[in-house]
Parts: sequence; structure tokens; C-alpha cells
Amino acid sequence: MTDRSAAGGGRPRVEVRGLEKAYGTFKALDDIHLDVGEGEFVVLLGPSGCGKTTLLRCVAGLETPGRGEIRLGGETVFSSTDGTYRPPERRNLSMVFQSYALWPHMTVAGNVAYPLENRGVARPEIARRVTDVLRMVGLDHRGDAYPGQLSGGQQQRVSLARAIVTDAGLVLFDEPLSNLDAKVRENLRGELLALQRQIGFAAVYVTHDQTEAMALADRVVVMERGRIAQIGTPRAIYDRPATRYVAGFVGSQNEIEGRVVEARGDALVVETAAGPVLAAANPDGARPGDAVHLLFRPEHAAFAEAGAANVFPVRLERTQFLGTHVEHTVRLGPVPVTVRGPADVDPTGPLHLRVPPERAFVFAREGA
Amino acid sequence: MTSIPTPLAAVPAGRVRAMDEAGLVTWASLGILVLLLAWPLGYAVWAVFADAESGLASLARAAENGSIGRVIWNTTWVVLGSTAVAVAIGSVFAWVNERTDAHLPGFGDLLPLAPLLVPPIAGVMGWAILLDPRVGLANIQIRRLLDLFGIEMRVGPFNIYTGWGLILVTALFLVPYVYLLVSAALRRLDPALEEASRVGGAGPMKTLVRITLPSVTPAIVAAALLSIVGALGLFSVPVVIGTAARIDVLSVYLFRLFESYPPQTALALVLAAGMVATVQALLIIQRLMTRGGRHATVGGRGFRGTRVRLGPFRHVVRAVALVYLAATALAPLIGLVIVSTQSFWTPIINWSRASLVNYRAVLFENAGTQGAFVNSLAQGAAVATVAMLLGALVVLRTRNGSPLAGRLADAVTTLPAVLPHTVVGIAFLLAFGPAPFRLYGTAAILFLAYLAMAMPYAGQAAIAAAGSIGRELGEASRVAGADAGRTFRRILLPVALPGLAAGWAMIFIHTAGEVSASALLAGTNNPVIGRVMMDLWAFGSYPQVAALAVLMAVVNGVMIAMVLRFGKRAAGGGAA
Ligand SMILES: Nc1ncnc2c1ncn2[C@@H]1O[C@H](COP(=O)(O)OP(=O)(O)OP(=O)(O)O)[C@@H](O)[C@H]1O
Ligand SMILES: [Mg+2]
Repeated sequence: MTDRSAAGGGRPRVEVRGLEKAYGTFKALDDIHLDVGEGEFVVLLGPSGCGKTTLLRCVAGLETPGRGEIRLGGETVFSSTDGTYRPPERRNLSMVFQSYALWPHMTVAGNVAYPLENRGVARPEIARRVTDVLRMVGLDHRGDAYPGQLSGGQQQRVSLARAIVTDAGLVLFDEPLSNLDAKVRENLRGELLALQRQIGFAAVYVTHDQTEAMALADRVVVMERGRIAQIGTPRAIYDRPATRYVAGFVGSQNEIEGRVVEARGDALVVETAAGPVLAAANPDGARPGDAVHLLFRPEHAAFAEAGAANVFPVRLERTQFLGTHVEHTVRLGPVPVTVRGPADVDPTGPLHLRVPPERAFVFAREGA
Repeated sequence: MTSIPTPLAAVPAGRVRAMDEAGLVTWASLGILVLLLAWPLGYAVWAVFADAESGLASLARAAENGSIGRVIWNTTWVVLGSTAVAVAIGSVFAWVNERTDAHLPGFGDLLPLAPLLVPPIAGVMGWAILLDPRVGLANIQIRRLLDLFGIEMRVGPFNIYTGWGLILVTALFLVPYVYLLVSAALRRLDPALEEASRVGGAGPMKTLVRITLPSVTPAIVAAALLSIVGALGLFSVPVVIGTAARIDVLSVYLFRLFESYPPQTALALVLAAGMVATVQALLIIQRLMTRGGRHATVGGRGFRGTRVRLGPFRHVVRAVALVYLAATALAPLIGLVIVSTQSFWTPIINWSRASLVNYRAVLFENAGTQGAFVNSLAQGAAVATVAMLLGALVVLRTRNGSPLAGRLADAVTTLPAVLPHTVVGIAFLLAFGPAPFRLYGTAAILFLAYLAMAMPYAGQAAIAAAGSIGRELGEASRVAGADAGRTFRRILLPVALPGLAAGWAMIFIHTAGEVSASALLAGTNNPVIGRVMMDLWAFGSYPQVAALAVLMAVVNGVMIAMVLRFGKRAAGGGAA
């Protein structure tokens, strides 16, 4: 029995403990633990089918987990141990859907007013707040329009207005921008972030777009088949991926199989088909003799002069112009490797590639 | 504030959400509907077995004097013949409208509605008025025309009171079902399949035969089976045409078994059971045939493929389609209007004596017809309202709720569709006729039977309406702070309303003009239009029947306008 005063200061807005959700024998969510602080922007990132939406819907109360506990602002809204289940309408949160989910028979203003009406807010107050948030999302002149008369981007703005109008302090987003085209998506992403900073609501935001995740998140939660693979700031996820899965999912990676032959201080020497490579990042704690994957990012490898440490002769296979940058595919021994780099590479001359040891990761290889 | 531990939270996951106040209403409605069907059908099944001995004995007797054999044989060829005709016409129209440049906008909306303008029983009478071999109004005009060319005829050239008449008029009522199923399948079929065939070097005809037809075969089979089920249960057409042509089919024969004194209930039950068993067997066959999934060719988006060019021929095709549309909707109505203004149905139309006396008579002077008119409209409105409310409730609310509720909702909204109306009539008659209910001949028994028969329409309309909503609209409302009941009232119902209104109008039309079950259930104290028209026709009061029919056409016309208007809006998902 929680009381409000205790719920206030310092408690996370969302606490998820040991959450499990199964469909038949398939576990869509497995032992999920997650805290979202007041005003924090948390992004759930993962490939299709990894359980992002399921987690979000469990928090909203639209799905009933099989096990675990969910607390919102310190109040238990779901607990499998004592059978607590609070329906969505009494969880005091908002949600923005991928399909916008605007009610077609209500005007824009009607849609935005609805959550306030449900909370018994007085009429003049409703009118005032609706006008306010419509102005915030730049739609104050379209209050009388019906959703069917708006563009996709405008519809999602209405949906956003509807989510923030109640000042619930927590907004759940399920891929809200994925139905929009690239330009609108980028604009709206910026506006969303500005709004969030201005109002200060906590956000749980689902996406499978890593750029979006990096741009928005205070913390990113990378999910893998119903489990959390890593939680951290965008920087940390990028610089220090905890697993090979996270390393591969966030950004792109070159991958070489090998075996650790020697520990040299903090770094390892990995024997690969292209020769011995020095790698410094070893989150799995691999030891000499272990079979491993060696990973490094295309943007971290660079062409260099022969003779330096960790520099290997390579053969240029293909160069692709990608607009903002150029991508070379080279062969490092038998292994194809992608390198981001200067456009002016002499395709005829001898080429050498440097793999910076501090950017090279070693992950244990299973079944070897 | 503490969390609320509800006693129901211990229910296995997924079901919890359905359990609140609004959930109780849903379950109660489901319960009522299940009882509404389970009691009469269960009773009838029990009665079949309880009476099996005497039923089989009378079956043997009837078989001996040959009457049963003849009825079954007649039924077989009428059903198969009309199905074949309907499948041919309906499929061709579907292909023409979905895949060729002879496509007429609005045709797809109007074709299924055309035969509804007059109630089936009145439609048949209209055709009889036109094509009676001696005094049929159309026949007379044709004879006059032929006379100009020196061809003299005393009767004909057409005679509706024949096997062909029976087959063709029956087919008219089946064509819409075929059209709807086949055109829906064609719409779902990705035109890219056909375009790939064309690009691959096959001509339009070869593409039609090798690609399109095989792809929609399951729909055609389903349409054929549905037609068979429909034709088997159809009562209005054989009771008018078959009676005069002395071709008895099962549905009418069953009715006569109850009308005879003493009623031959046992025999009727055995035959009805056989009828239901046949229908079920057909449906099982259909399910087995379409199960393979080999035909799953659903494309996604609302694409428009290139249409087959029919060249100048397309004008001919269009003309045929328009004539068909006009003929099914208007021809019988014209016959009815003419006769309704005369004092007798005679070959010579006396326009100077045309009057509205028959209308005055049926509306104000004849207590029987007046009562029937009022009763039928009231039943139509009441049944449509209750059915749509229940249908919307169970479909919209069980869509994402417990699987059990979903299955029950499915059962109550699909089961009656596969029961011939005559059988529904028999089951309700047996279950609610005797003590303790003693409902025979009351408005209540009619209402209950109509309600059961209306549930498939209500379910269909609600499913279609729900399809336009999408799950997230309701969820968004819950998250926005509205409980399940409020979400239903404020979001789901209003959004579904246009579709539900269209469904309401359909149910009204079908209920107000119903004959098959009404003939069995409506006593003399509680006349309804269908039964009264049947009786007046048998008496030979043609002008009065015609006047009643025209009045019904006016009412139905209003309803059809409503279907078109709201159906459109529902499809467009439009706001405002
Ligand atoms: N009602 C359901 N019944 C059975 N399985 C389900 C159900 N809902 C979700 N699943 C399964 O649970 C898993 C997680 O689904 P979820 O919708 O959470 O994925 P997601 O991460 O949101 O994916 P996406 O990025 O494609 O939206 C999927 O494998 C899905 O097939
Ligand atoms: Mg999802």
C-alpha cells in the first residue's frame, strides 16, 4: 500500500520488474527489468518481433503480463504475485500509436479534448488547454478539421497533442514516425524532442531505427528476442557494446573470426585468416585459446602507411558513392571488409588498412 | 491511492481486460443469443431423435407412394439448375466489373440491392404477373408485337409456371451472393499475377482461364455452395411458381406437412434434419476444398491493375449489365404497379379506370392487411434495432477479448446463416409453440425467430464496421482515460455507426418481407406481410397483393437509399 508522499521525490516514473509475457510457449518478454526516471527519454530499440511493442503495451495496461511487476510513479499497477491489475484508463499515462489512432468522427479539437473530458476537467479549462497544445504542435488553425482532412504528419501532431494535453508526465510512443516520409520524420523528431525538453515528460519510445534512437534517447534499451541486451546512453551503446548482438545492431560492423593467441596487457592478440590483429576491447573477458569474433566499425578503420602497428595490406574491390560519404570494400586476406574513407584512393597502388586496437572488439564465439 | 486488486485478476492472462462492467453486458448479450439458438435447435434435434421411429415410418410410407422421391428429385434439379445459372451470371458480372473496361461505377453496389427493392415473395408475384402464359402482361405485349408479323399465339410465348421459370427466378435471388463473393475475391487478387501472365505472353482469354479463374475458384465454389444452401431454403419462389406448376420442392413440402391436418411433424422433422445434414455436408466439403492455402494470393494495397479491353464489345456488355439491373429491380415492380391500379388482373389494362382503391383497401379497410403492414414494419424495426445492438456489442467487444467469447460470438453470428429459414421456423415452432411458452402465433415468437435469422447480417455488418475501425482506436481511448463502456459509447459505436445503419436497413428489409419462417409461425391473429401476401395470392386477390407489394417497395426503397448512403460512408471511413 503505497502512499502518495512517498511516491514523489526521486522515484522513477516507471519501474518494471521481472516482467514476463508468453504467447503459448513463446516468450515475447522474458525477465525484463527497466527504470525510467522523471523526464527521462528512454528508447526501446531492437529488430522486428523482439518484443518492444509488447513491453510498451504491458506498461500501458493493454496487455497483461504473465509474471512480474509494474509500478508507475511508485504505485503498483500490475503485480502477478497479488493479482493487481489496473486497466489502462486508470494508469494516467498517454500513448502515441504508429497508426495515429485518431478518432475519425471527432474534430482535431475533439480528439485532443477527449482525454480531458474523461478526467472530468471543466469545460473552459478544456478549451484553454486544447488551444494551448494545438499551438504547441503548430495546428492551432486546424482545430475544426477532421483527421481525414489532414496529412500524415499533421495527424501525428494531433496525436502528439492528444498525448501531452493531460500533463500525465509519461508518454509511450510506438514507432510514431515510421509511417512518415524521411523529411517529415526528421522535422517531427526534432519538434518532439524540443517539446519533451520543454514539458519534461518521461518518454518510452519504441523504434527499430537506430538513428532515431541515437538522436532522441537519454538512454537506449537494446532488446533481443524478448530480453534486454543492453541499457545505456547512446554513446555507451555505440562505444562499448556489451555483446556481439548489440555491436552488430547499432551501427555496422566488420567481423572476422579468429582465436586469441596472446594477452598483451589489456589487449589481446587474435590470430585471424589475415594475420594477427591486436584488439583492446574485451567485454566478454576472452582469454588465450578462446575462439572469438573480432569486430570493428567501417568508420574506425582507415587507410595508412605500411609498417605501423595493426596495419594490414588490403586489395580494393569496389568503391561506392553514398552521398554523404564513400564506402570502400577491400579484402583483408580472404575477408571482405568495409571502410568509410576518403574518395581519393588510388585503386592501382598498394593499400594498407589500419585497425585501431582500442576500437576493435573481441566477443567469444559460441560452439567453437 | 492504492492499486485495486480485482477478484478477476487471477484469471489467466489476456482475459483480465474483458472483465469489467461492460464485459458483463457483453457476456449477458452473448448468453441471450446462445440461448436463443441453442434452445430451439437443441429441442428440434431432440425431437428428431425422440420421434425418429414414427418419423422414419411415415418417411417409408411417403416413399412408398412416391411423393418423397418426387419432391427430392424436384428439389435437386431446381437447386442445382438455379445454382448453375446464378454462378454463371454472377461470376461473369464480377469479372466484367472488376477486371474489364466495361466496368460501371456503382454497379457493384446496386446489383446486390436490386432484388431487394420488392420483398422476394412480391418479386416472384411480379414476375408471374408479367409471364403468366395466358394473362402475363409481358406475354400479352409480346404477342401483340408478334401479331404485327403475322404470328398469332393464344398463350405464351413465355410460361413462368415451368421448371425453367422456377430455376430462372430462383437464380435471380442467388446472383447477388455469387457476385459479392467472386468480386471480393477478384478485388483481393493481386492484378500483378494477371499482369505477369500477360507480360509472359498469354492473351487476355488465356490469362482469364489459366490464372484468374483458378485463383478465384475457391470463391466460386463457396458461392456455388452458398447458392445451393440458399436455393434449398428458398420458399417464396417455389410457393408461388412451384405450386402453380405442380412442382413441389422440399421447403414448400415441409410447410405443407405442418399445414395439413393433423400436422405431420415427425415426417417434417426427419426431412428437415436431412436438409440440414445436406447443407452441413456441403459446407464441410467447401472448407476442405479451400483449406489447402494454395489459393492464398492476397495482395495488400488498393492497387488498380490494367483492365482487359473489350473494345467496342464493352458497350454491349454494359448494356446487358444495365438491362439486367433494371430488369431484376424494376420489371416485377412495373407489373405490380400496373395490377395494383386495376380492379382485376386482366390482359387488357384499362388506364381510364386506374385508381388507388386497392391501396386504400389494404391500408385502411382490410383489417388483415393493415395489421400485417403495421406488424411487419414494427417487427422489421424492432428486430433490426435489437440485432444490430447485440451484433455490434458482441462483435466489437469480443474482437480482442477472450477467445471463448470470440468463438461464441462467431457461432451465434454464423450458425443461423447456414440454416434454411424453413428449418429455423420449424425449430422455433416446436420449441416455443407448446407449453410452457405457448407462443405460437404471437409477435414474440416471430420476433425471436427473426432475431435469430438476422444475427448473421448483424454480425457481418458489425464485422465490416469493426474492420474499418482498427484495434488501436479503442486502445487509444482506454489510454486516454475512458473505461471499456465509455470507449464503446464514445468511440467504437459512433465510428461504426454508418456501417451499422447500413446493416440495420438490410435487416429491416429482410425481416419485413420474410415468408419462410413467417408462414409457419404467424397465426391468423398476428398477420405479417409475407404470410398475408401468400394467402391473398392463393385466393386470387391479385390487385390487393400488388398494392401491398408496391407499398413495401416504397419502404424498401427508402431503406436501400440508406444502405447506399451509409454503406458508402462506412467504406470511405470518412469524417464529418
Ligand atoms: N497476440 C499475439 N499472439 C501471439 N504472438 C504474439 C502476439 N503479439 C505479439 N506476438 C509475438 O510476440 C513477439 C513480439 O511482438 P512485438 O509486437 O512486441 O514485436 P516488436 O518488437 O514490436 O516488433 P515490430 O518492430 O515489428 O513492431 C513477436 O514474435 C510476435 O510474433
Ligand atoms: Mg511493434
